[in-house]
Amino acid sequence: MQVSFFCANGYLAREALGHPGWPTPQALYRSEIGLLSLQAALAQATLADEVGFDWVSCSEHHYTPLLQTPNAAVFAAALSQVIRKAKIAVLGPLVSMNNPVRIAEELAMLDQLSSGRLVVLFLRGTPNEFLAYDTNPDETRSRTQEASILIIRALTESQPFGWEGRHYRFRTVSVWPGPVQQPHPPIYYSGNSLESATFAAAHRLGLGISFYPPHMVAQLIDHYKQECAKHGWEPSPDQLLYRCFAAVCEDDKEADALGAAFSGMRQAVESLMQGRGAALPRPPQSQVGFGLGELRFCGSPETLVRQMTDFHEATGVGVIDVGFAGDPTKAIRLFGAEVLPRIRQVGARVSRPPELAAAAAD
Amino acid sequence: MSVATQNAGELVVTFVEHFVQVGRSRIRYREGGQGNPVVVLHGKDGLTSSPLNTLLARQFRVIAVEIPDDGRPPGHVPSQSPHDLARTLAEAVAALGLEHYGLVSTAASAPLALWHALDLPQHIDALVLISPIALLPDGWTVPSGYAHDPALERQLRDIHTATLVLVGTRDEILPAETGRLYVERLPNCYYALVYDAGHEIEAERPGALFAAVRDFLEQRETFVVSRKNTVINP
Repeated sequence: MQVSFFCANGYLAREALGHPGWPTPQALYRSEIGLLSLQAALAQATLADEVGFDWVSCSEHHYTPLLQTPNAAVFAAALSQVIRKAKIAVLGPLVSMNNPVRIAEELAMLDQLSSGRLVVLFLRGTPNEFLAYDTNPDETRSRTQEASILIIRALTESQPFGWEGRHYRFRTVSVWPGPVQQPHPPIYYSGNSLESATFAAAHRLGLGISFYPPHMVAQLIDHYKQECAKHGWEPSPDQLLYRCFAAVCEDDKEADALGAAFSGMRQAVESLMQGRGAALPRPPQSQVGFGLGELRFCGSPETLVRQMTDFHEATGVGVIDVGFAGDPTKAIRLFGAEVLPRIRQVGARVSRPPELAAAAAD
Repeated sequence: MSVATQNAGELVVTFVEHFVQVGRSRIRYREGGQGNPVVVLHGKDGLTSSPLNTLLARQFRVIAVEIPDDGRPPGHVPSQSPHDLARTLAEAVAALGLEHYGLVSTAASAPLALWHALDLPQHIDALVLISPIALLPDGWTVPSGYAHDPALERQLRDIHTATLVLVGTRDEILPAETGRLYVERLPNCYYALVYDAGHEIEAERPGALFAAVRDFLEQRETFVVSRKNTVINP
């Protein structure tokens, strides 16, 4: 199993983080704290790389101090200059509301900047994101699908071409530079619904699922694999990606305390869903209820090894993208020292680490 | 002469069927609309009512010519080769008195259009090849209607007419990247992908096809320049 560190680049002052709802007014922004936050995030990413995380990821989100990456490509470019070994995972651009050709150009540049270490996931976006660029929520699914096909074509087409789409028209597309990885960097598609998993399978894209509990992840992956088989291919474990929040502490009690206080993005999304947000399509209740606001993995290193192993065996997920509650630096060190080495072989030849397998046998 | 009326949105377009004599061949064609002339060579469905022709006839004089080598028109003389057939069609068009026109082909009529462009470049203002079956990527299964024409392929670089190739992104007969083969060979060629269309672009996304063909016939190379008005409140 591979593990990715989700580098949220969160703002470090409680005054802004505690603001109820979305969007957060810029009046709460302090530039000196913003700079410190960015330095801290880059330091976390560097540390994650040093302790052996396979990927470092970032995502496009808007108008919030929780995730200060309105342009994930810009942040990924900065990551590419401090991370030496890990892959740079842009998980991802919100393809429903950006210029797809611009996204393709940015991805190609990032693949170049990272010397061919880019990984990307095409995201549709959460309902509140659609307000940022005046995007019609009812069109976002079809826009995401068309944009994804166009981005892939733009990354791979050797001659200038035009695009006559349903949502996009470009008469001249010719991305330069091209990607380092051929034909293109590994691409995942956000797959939190059966329809999107079907789309990912049809286009031979990896599947990225976020926040859902194991039984729902397993259902989606089963469906995805069946659809892949219909299209004549079988995804590898590292094409099954899962994003979640986690807490790792020296002991379970300390981690449980972190988990009890954790709300993640739940507050912002739930707040938005009231008032003006009533006009937006509601996210699945499960995503608000126990996805955005809960820690999927929580406990001591020993507990996390067991939880992640069980999760893998229940779902088949091969890459876990994890954002840490509490002090990320402390969590990265502990996870890197005591969890990473023990789950590395999960999903290879034997699923369970030797000590867990022995314990299970007893 | 017969008359067919086709409804293109709110505009009713009347197509009138005619015949033109070329040597011993009696070639059928249907004409509708007004404006700059556009000669259309049909695909596998023959000279049937066509959404694209109907849309084009809103602003062009559309002359849809039946390809006489498919056994349908009685009394025609079968041609010996695509080049001969192209010559026959060219004579038919000449007999109509057209000096300058756009030429639009679909699928297996592409070789005829390309030969036409080679033989009579001075008459053709713009060439449009829709799902063209003239060049195939190496190793691709040969589709129905395809005949390898090495002589044509050798001369493609001599076609300087502004050319637009359109291929559907879901085309299962031609891979979408087929368009690139034309760009690599024709010196003034553009290729566009029609999203979410299969081989029958005209049936699946007529509006998108029409917009691209219309803009190219009107503007040729400068069709790449957007004139979309984005002002919300002037």
